[in-house]
Amino acid sequence: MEKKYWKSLEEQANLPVTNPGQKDEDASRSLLDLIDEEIDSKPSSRRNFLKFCGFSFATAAIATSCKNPINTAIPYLNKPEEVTPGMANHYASTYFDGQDYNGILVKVRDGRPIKIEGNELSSISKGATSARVQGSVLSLYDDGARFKAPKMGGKETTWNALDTEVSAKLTAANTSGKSIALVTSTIISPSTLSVINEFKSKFPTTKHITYDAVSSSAVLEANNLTFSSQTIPDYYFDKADVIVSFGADFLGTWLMPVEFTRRFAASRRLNAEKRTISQLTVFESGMSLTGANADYRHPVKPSQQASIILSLYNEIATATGGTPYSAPASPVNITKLAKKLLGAKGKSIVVCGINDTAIQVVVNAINQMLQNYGSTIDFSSSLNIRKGIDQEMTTFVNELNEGKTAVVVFYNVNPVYNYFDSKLLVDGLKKAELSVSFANAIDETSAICTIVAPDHHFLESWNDAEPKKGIFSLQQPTIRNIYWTRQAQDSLLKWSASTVQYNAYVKQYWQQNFSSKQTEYTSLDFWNYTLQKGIFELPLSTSQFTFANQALADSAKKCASFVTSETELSFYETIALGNGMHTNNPWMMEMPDPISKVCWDNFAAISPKMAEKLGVVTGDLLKIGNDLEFVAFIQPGQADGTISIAYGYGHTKAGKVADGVGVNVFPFMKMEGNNRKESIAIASVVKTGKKYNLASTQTHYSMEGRDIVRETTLAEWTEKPNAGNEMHEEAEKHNISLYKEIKFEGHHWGMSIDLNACTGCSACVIGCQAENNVPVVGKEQVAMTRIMHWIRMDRYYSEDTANPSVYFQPIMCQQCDNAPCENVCPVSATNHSSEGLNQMAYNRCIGTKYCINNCPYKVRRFNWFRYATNDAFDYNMNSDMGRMVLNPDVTVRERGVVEKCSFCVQRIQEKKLLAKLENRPLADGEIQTACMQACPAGAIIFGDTNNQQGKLMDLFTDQRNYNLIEEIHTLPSVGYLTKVRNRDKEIKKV
Amino acid sequence: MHLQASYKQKLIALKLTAPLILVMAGLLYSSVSQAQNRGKEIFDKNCSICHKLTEEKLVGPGFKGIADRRDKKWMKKFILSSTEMVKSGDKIAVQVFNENGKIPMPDHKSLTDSDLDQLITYIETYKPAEAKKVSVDITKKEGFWRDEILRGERLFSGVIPFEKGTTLNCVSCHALIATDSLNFNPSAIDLAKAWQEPNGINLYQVLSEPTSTKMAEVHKGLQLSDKEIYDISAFLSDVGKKGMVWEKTFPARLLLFIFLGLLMAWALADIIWFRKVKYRIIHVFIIIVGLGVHGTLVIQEGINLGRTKDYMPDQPIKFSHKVHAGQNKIDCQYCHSIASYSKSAGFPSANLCMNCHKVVKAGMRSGKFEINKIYRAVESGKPIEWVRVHKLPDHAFFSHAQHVGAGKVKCQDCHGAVENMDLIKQFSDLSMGWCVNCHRQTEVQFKTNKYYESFKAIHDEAKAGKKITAERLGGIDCSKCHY
Repeated sequence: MEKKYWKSLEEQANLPVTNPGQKDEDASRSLLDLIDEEIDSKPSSRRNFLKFCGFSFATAAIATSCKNPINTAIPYLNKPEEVTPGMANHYASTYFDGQDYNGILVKVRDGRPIKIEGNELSSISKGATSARVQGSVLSLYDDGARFKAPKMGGKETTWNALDTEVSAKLTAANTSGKSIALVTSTIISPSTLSVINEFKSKFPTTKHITYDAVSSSAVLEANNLTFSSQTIPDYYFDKADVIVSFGADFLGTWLMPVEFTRRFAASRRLNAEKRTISQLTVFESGMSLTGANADYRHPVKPSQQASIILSLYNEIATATGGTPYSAPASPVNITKLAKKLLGAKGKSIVVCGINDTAIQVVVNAINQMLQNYGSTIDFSSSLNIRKGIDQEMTTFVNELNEGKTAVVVFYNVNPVYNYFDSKLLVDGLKKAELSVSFANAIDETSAICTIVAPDHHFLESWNDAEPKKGIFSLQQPTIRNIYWTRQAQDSLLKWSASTVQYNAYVKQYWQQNFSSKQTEYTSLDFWNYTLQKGIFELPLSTSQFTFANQALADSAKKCASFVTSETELSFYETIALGNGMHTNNPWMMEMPDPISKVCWDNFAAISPKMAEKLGVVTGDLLKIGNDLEFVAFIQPGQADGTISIAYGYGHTKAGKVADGVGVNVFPFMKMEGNNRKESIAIASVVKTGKKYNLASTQTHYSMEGRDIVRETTLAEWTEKPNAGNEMHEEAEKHNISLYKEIKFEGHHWGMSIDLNACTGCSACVIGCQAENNVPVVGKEQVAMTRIMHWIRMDRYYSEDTANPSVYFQPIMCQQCDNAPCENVCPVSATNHSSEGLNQMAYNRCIGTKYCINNCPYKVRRFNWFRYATNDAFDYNMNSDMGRMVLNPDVTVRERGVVEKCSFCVQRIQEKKLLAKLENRPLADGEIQTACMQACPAGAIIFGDTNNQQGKLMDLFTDQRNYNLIEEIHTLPSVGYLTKVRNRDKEIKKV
Repeated sequence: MHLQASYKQKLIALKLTAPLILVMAGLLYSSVSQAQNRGKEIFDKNCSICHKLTEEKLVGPGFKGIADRRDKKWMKKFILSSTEMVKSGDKIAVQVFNENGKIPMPDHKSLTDSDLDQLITYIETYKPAEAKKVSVDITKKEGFWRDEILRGERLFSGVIPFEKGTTLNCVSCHALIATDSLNFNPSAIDLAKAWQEPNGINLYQVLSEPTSTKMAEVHKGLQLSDKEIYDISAFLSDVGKKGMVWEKTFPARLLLFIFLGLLMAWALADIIWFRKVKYRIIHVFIIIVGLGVHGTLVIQEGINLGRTKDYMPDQPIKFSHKVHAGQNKIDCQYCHSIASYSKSAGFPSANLCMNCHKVVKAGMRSGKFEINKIYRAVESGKPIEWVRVHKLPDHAFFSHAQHVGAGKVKCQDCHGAVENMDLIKQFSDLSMGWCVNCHRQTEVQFKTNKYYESFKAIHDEAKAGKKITAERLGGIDCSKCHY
């Protein structure tokens, strides 16, 4: 029997699939019944008939008599040299929001930033981005939430008035000896740090507190204990053969997911030259992106991880001649894993995402014994992107409550929302004489601050960054500030009585500090060229740290002392929302979580076994502990006896999209020792009997058990390159048609997707949304399967429901050469182009939806409503400001038409035209679709199948290549490469 | 008789001398005024940059009361070469030199003695024009009474003649109704706008002292009283508020449609009930012709719905492509410079206009009025709002770069003979049929552009001498324009 793949538990158990949003009663009645009822309910009379007639006559009369409106064209008075109307400019800049770093290129069309791409020169992102970076451009135009002017006491004021007030309070605090607290997120900008130092020297009572909502405090402290260096090393997953992760979701949210994904994908790539891949083992409680991509995944309780790590330490220590410590029995047998790690000394990585110093110390010891430092884990390019020490913030809140702090300034943090003891903080703030927030958009913290000195959006700001030691990048404004805001650094400079503007400050700082470190440019040219490139990278310096194991014995003892409870609750960051900073971004809100496929809510993920025990199904409300009521979501692979809930939801004052969606779980974190703990033991979980609807795209467009995902193991693949893909040959044999074969004489566009590289991070989904003006439809519509995304990330499970294997598959229009949708369109609105594109003419479409029904891949979307300029969809496309983000090269679709992926035809046309203008043939790889450009794993390759030397044809002729449902002879232009897992045993056929 | 004769002689003498006296008087007057004119000319040319005739000091001192301060001879010498006088140590000259920041006055050795006389006479006799006494509030720009506006309208359109009657009236040059033809004179609304703007034109002044020769020429003999100007300004304020009235076109097609409709209704009614007309063939004829005409009209109007062929709106500046592209032979892409590489052809920015109009300050036909609008825009920072003529719907993508840059299509192929158009008129209907037809017929740059090198199969066709049209390369695919 064939191995079974399933998208949801209902499908696996062969139960009828229901959508939570669907009302049951509707399902039982046919559409015709509904129409009949609708007609019955309204008295139809001669009067109504005349009304309708009158209406149609009036419309006809108006339509025919109206003059076209007069359009004006307003040219510049003085055209700036670099601006060409109708052509986009790209500016190199930097994205850093306190969590994620990305070197970026900002596409500016006619003065408006409309799209963010990765900067290919940056060694960190290499042209890739994450979903959050892709979405960040939308927050620039968030006219509902952004501050329009400085505020004092809740009322709008002027900057002068604000400066006078703040300066007076600062001076008063300084003279009275009371402290001034500057609470910031991690700052990686050398110039900003220098500004803060100037501020400190002007006001010596200033304390700078770095606060990361979800911190890496334990890693920093453990490294300080073992290496006397409070930094985070860089992890080279591409150099590792064996990777072990304990709850560190490095492909999704941990430290530098974009770079780690690229490195991990590089280690997983297979071709004629590279014939081995790394092996990833993950221990975690909730299913994370990293866990989903693992070769071996062990669902364990958060508290059990310490004992596993300690046992692993003992195994390795025994083998390498170290001292083992007494440890409780490991719930998982790790002997084999230890052997593998020992076999890959210097070529392995053990990472751990648990915020506990003791555990991190033991993990460091393991890596030390495996000789990973200096090879796969490197301190010479240490990461600067997390600097927050949890204890600092706690001390600050305590001092605030003791009345020692007179002035508090918040920069890029929202602790009132995401500090675990928010109530204590709010009480303390009342004792301060002045609280200032630099927030650029409303949030919970700025709501209670006496003064709001709104910062520019990052696309309006000057800044620099040093995400890793020796790797620098610059940030430049791509639009003049839309509202009356001022950059936070400028405010600090102003209050320090400095007359320098921050942009001049950054320039001067760079001229002074970096110009001399390079020889490529003269010091005059240095600034301009670096600004143009956006990045400045110094060669790696070598720094070796010696391992000190004084702290090890105590740490091991602590690791052995973890107590396991019956039910444990843990919190995690989602790919879309992270720590909740971007929750008001409708694109991020509507991005289905790659694992659960739920959007617009957080939920309590429980294991199928636990659900059975409690007698709940997805959608039942649970009472967790004493004061937490949550909707249950049955998550295959969730460790038994654990509940996982996402951060980032439950805002109260963050804007129209974020407010009131989900529940905030930050207050449930606990301070334990020096660290904020992200998992707690809970006393009880009870079913309340109430129901709640989750909007999930999980069961949309099921593929009915066809042979969609193809996979094999490394061992099988080595033996037989078409392992797992034997059907492809069979299908190819049957590719015979009665019809004349269509020839594509010029180009024939195609795309290849490597399922082995794809991690499911969904950057492509948001990249596509930004490029193609895809509307946000809201929870209610998503629940009715009406999400509009042109590319969706399908997720399949197989095998055991308690610990399934997971597969990701990005699906967009397959651009079939023998497209089923084209044949059924009564008006030929969708037909085939001479370049193999399945083209869609919106203005011809009359909305019969036959094509949607006939598409075997379910990639077509219907505009049930007018989503733009419609206040019923109050997200971004109903305001002039929100519509600024729209791509002018892509039509905004009207109600009643079908749309779908176009292979970014606007980009194809743009690059073709460029080649023609430059009188040269089109280069291979020159055209990048939005999804391809966003992908950090390089899993998507677009190209011309008529170019035999091109990269695409290499992949299409690979034995792993197959097309979806190829047996029905649709001849898709999208090929997938089989997934290869590095498992020792052969995959069980269920 | 003697008496008679003497009377006659006297009369003759008078007849003879009178013209002589008149001529003499005329000569005398003209010589004085000529002297004054020459003096003014010299002053304007040589002195006015640094000196004013009032007390005000520019670079050098003001000239008011100079006759009392300086000797005429000294003045002559100083004008000819002040530097020499300073060098020679003339006391007054050195004092003047020091008082004026030690900036030496340039020599004017080319001036003759009579020139100097005339110049000094002009300077000494100069009297500033006395502020004209007016009986009306010349600063008022809005809030006029209804009867003032009405009187202004009548004066403007010539219903009431001006007091110092002339045959001219305003409306014969300054149109009140926008028409689709280029009239180089400023229209009434133009005047209203120019007058109402802050720092706009002063009607009272320009009507008595025309600013350009063109204006002086056409306004010759026109003398308006202040009250008349006041009333006209009242009317202009009203025009400015209401905006331009568009010429109404006669709805011939609609009337034909209605008439035939009624006729057919009558024919039907007659066939069924009245039966007044014996010959049925008449009814049948009426109905067939009526239906035919109705059908044609509906189809024609339907097809043209949303199309704007021949659209020729008035522009904010009476810019003539005929003058610029036709007569002066300026290349299209001098102004529409981005057409060859950008999606848009680009409306030239005002600073581009200034490249030429820094020098060209008055037009042959339009005088200064229109060109001044560019200066006003540049000075005020308020951009010029042109009316867009060619506009494709949003769902149709059109790139000028593709056609002008890659396809080497001539501008005129789509825009018509722009070099012969004063006012731009939409030449093509910009319908999809028009696009597709062109794509079917137009050859691409297949052999010259290296981009097409990869189209191997089609190259064989090209070698065989076949025409490679845009359509052959997929030029009529939907997704070439709609995405």
